[in-house]
Amino acid sequence: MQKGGGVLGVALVGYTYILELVGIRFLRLAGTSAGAINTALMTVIEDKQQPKSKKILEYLCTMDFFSFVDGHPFARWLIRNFVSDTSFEKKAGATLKAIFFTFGGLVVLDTVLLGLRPRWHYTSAAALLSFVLTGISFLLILLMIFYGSYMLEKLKAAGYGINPGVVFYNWVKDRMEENGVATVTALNAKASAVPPLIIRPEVGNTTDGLFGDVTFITSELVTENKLQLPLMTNLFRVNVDDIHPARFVRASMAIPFFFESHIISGIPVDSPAIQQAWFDHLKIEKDKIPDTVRLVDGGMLSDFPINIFYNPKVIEPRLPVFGIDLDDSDPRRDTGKNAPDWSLADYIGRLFNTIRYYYDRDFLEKDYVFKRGIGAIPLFGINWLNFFLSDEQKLAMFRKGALAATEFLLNFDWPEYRRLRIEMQQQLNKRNRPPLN
Amino acid sequence: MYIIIFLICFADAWISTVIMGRQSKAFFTMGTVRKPFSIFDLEFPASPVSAANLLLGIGLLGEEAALKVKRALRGQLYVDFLFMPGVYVGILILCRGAALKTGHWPGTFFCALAYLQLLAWLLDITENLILLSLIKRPRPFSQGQFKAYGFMELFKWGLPLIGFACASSTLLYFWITGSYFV
Repeated sequence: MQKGGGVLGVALVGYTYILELVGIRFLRLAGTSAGAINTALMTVIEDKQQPKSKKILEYLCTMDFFSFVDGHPFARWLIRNFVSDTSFEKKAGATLKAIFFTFGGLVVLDTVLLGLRPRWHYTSAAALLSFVLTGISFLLILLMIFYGSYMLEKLKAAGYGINPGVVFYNWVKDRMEENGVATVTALNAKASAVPPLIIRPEVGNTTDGLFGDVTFITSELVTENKLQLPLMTNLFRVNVDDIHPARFVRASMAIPFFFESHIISGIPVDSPAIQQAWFDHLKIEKDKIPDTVRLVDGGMLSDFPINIFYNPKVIEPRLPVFGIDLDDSDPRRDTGKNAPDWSLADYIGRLFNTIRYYYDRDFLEKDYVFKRGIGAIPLFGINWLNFFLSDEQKLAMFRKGALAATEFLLNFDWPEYRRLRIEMQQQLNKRNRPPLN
Repeated sequence: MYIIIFLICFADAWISTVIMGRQSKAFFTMGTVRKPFSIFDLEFPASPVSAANLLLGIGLLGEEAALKVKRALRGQLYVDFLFMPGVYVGILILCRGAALKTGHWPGTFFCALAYLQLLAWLLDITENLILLSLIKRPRPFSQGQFKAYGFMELFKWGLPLIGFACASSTLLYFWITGSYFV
């Protein structure tokens, strides 16, 4: 399971590179947002026995991340400055204040000079100039207001997403197709492949029932649900190959406001197959099926859905579940002492994070042993929307991912993990067993 | 007499603006979904291909809807030809008035600004002809064409806006100080 986190996803490649270097391969893969990108590439490149991270790193190093920011040039300029220049917000605020104060000052000057004019005629020229400057500054303010409202109208027309995400979609599509995946069927074929596996005799189990798959998590806003794709592609089309699998990755990383939502329209709601799919996956009756869905970043609901690999029927795990956490939290994180003094931005951020992280945290609290399979990559100080990383910055993040994977592997104890998973599942089953009457 | 001509220009510009405003309500194109667009998206395209993509997107709305949008778009450009004398002659008159009131070098400045409105008018006509041609056959700009188009828009908008701001604030000054007549 690979967590979302914008450009922090580069670190995921470093992590999986180390895992592959020591011979680990992945039967099932899942990811949200940035995690979905690495997940998709790891699925489509070659077959499951081959390492992929080197090729993925090649892709990332030759990719101009900032081309993914494909919105209006003004928006790109704003984003670039907000992200790269920590003082940009202050500078922009100061500039705006200066313009308004200048206008105000000129109006005052106009009044003063007009008043002095009857007494000192030479002030007439100054007053005239002042009036003209006032007119020009007023024009500037009107232009700013007009341009601002024009950009807001464009934002509204784009469904409140600054960047269309077309460049990103085409990039993922091209990567998939150059690796032989242009349909959902082809994607599933690669994902479901199970290489010849051998269980150690002392484990006393078989490989029966093991299967491969890939999952991209996205949030659907019309029915307010979490969707797992490509599993749920039959919600949208009778023939799943009518949708390109690159759209799942595009949907998973549709960061609200930063990217436009990904919309799938023309759902044949009268089709019995579609109606059955909506009921099977989401328990939605046929009269409530929408003909259009609006998909945004899966991280809105579940940034780290490691629970999709959880099967309560499995007491003895044959394979560990690994998760890669992109941890950009401040190590000096507020321990609660400053809670009453949070700024508005901190308060809203905490409200949002409490809601969106709860679902994943709840699972990890109840099924705590899964935490033992999770490695965290410390990435504090890197802006997750910094799309114009230099090659040095990309490599630095790759290194952080690699170091985190190394540390994880040095501490991971598979027999102990397995023992604890068995113990945990037995306790859960005992707790959930219906009482005898 | 100048005041009468100015008032006619003002009325022409005002009425044309109202008509063009109504026509713009029919502007839609197809991206992922049907979405509205503004004439400014064509006058200030974000990239060399965006104007062409927008116009091609109109074609994806369906034959009847596309026809309606293109008719409204062409209609607005034709009404714009009627709007032009109103605005450019009007600003020319304002600038000439400011020139006569100020005299000396400010007068020369305002005189030049007045006659530059004719250049802006010519650029506006060129812009409309380009857009009418693109509607008929959408095609992307080359990099050079895109830059040239951008400069054209800068002068087409810049000259009348500066002319109006400078001339109207100058005439306002003279009005406030009691010097009403030119």
